[in-house]
Amino acid sequence: MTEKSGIRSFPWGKIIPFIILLIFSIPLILGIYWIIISTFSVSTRGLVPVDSAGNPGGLTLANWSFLADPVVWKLTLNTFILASTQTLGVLLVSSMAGYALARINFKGRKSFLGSTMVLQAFPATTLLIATYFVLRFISGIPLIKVFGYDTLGGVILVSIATQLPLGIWLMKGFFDAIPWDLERAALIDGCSRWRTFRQILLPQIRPGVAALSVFSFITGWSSFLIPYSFLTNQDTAVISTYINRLMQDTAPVNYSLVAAVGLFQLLPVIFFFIFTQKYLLAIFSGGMKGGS
Amino acid sequence: MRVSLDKITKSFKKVDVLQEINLDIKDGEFVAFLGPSGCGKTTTLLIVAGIYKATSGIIKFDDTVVNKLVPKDRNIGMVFQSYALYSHMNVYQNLTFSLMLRKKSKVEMDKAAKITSEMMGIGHLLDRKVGMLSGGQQQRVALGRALIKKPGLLLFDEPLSNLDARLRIHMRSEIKKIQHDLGTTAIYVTHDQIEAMSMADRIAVMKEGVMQAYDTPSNIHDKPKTMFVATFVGNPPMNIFDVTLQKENEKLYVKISEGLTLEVPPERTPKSFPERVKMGIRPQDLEIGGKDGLPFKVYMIEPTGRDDVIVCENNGLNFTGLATPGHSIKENENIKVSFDMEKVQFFDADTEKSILWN
Repeated sequence: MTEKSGIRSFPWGKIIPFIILLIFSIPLILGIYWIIISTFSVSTRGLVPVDSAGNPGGLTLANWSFLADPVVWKLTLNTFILASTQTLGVLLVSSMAGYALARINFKGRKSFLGSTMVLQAFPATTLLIATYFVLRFISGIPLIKVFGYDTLGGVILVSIATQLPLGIWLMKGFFDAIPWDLERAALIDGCSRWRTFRQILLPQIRPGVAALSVFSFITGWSSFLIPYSFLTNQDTAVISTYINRLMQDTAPVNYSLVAAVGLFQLLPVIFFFIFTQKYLLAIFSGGMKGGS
Repeated sequence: MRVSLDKITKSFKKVDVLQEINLDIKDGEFVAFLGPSGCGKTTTLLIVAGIYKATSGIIKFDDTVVNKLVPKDRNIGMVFQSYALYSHMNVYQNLTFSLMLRKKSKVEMDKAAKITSEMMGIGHLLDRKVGMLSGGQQQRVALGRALIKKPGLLLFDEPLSNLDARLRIHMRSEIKKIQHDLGTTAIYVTHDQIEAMSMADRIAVMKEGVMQAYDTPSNIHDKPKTMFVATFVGNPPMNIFDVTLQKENEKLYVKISEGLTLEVPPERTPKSFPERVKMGIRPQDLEIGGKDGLPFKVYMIEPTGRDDVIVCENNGLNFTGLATPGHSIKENENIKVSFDMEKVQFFDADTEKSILWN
């Protein structure tokens, strides 16, 4: 093939999309840069670190001293407990519900599926006030009081509930992809339904389960609205509400400290995301076949 | 193990999928369920397996009614078209899964796995994950899994459809040999009539939920009871013509079209004479380009390697015949076709039933 010269040979096809992506990414990149740089500065003017007098160059590690505070670690533990128990709950309920919807023909199956679609459209915000009343009601009932208002249990309960529509849909989709013959073979070999579910089918959708758990954990780890609305006790707070308090309690706000705690909260998320990226992309593009 | 199906029907919601299937299978017999897609053969198989419940009718294994028995208590082994192997386990675990569920000891499981895997020629693959095997090897694992519990009945659901043609032919004889050596009763579902004809002791031909015939391969081939059976079995398919039967001077003649009349031998005299009749003759029972016969013109020649398929026509009447390669027939040539009337079939054009064998 002869070499084309001049304007035709300039790889416009590659350059133009790159430029467009760059333009949209610049705010994000600058934002991330700002966060990182301000955790190491006394303060910032724009993107330049400055010291207390306003002169450029006030680099310091003082903002990271919050790591020595045991309260912060208690909050981290709370956040971890919230994220992990919520993930377990979502996985447990979604996998069983997804299996039932995919395989068992029961009355009201179609309307149940339809309602999960509708429920997914409700952001937690719109249901906040109603949820408050429900949690207060639960607080009044002796045995399940631990799931009531102002308890970690209650926050976990509500968090699980908000994530179930997506979780159930995903799981149902994964189960739908498994051929019927596999269950038939298991039945003939002598598996009970429960055993087939646990030992044969769940391993087939391992990538899907992994993807859902990562997504659920990240959502739980960074969740703010639900803990903020339903936890008043400082002891049971999470990192996100702590950051919020930092911004409300002190005046003027020490944004560098806020950035530091924020970055601290972000690190596990970034860490997870890097390693599980391909799973997350796969489930959201809907193309992954379980078991391969 | 003998199997009997007595007036089995199956409906899904309002759709009738099977209409009164009756059959008896002898101990050690190899029976094929043959038919086009959607005819109900897999449904029947799954009812025998216990995965589907029959809407009505009685299934018996030997003399026990098994309608209410769950699959695992029916002492059956099944091989699926897609193999349905547990892909997260290795070959050993796949083979011994059913034994593990019955709480057999490790020693027993090891022994059984060794014997079965060696019989299937996969003894060296026990540690491999199933996903790492070729199609043929996976098929052997599937077969081994079915055989390891020494079932009284083997069920096959189009097991060779996913294999390439060469391997299919090889596995066909292997399956038949194993079944024969073990003497296990077997039911084999397929849409491939060559498979059914070469493997089965008896074939049940099905169409749209109705059993059309249940007989030995040679009877199904030579004495088909319906037009569907006649045209479904045999490749290239049987030629069918609209004809008129005429009696003259105590002899029976069949008129194929104007000027084309043939004498019907006494052995092929129909039992009844409906108003409209169809005649059937297989391509291999026609002699093309010989000295005698009715005049036809060659429309097309299709070489297939072993034979050449010759399509002939006369006045709009088309049919196919066969010729050995090396003939001198050319397209558009006028040739003579002679009919082997000892092999001819006659059908009632309206009921499509044979008037020779019914």
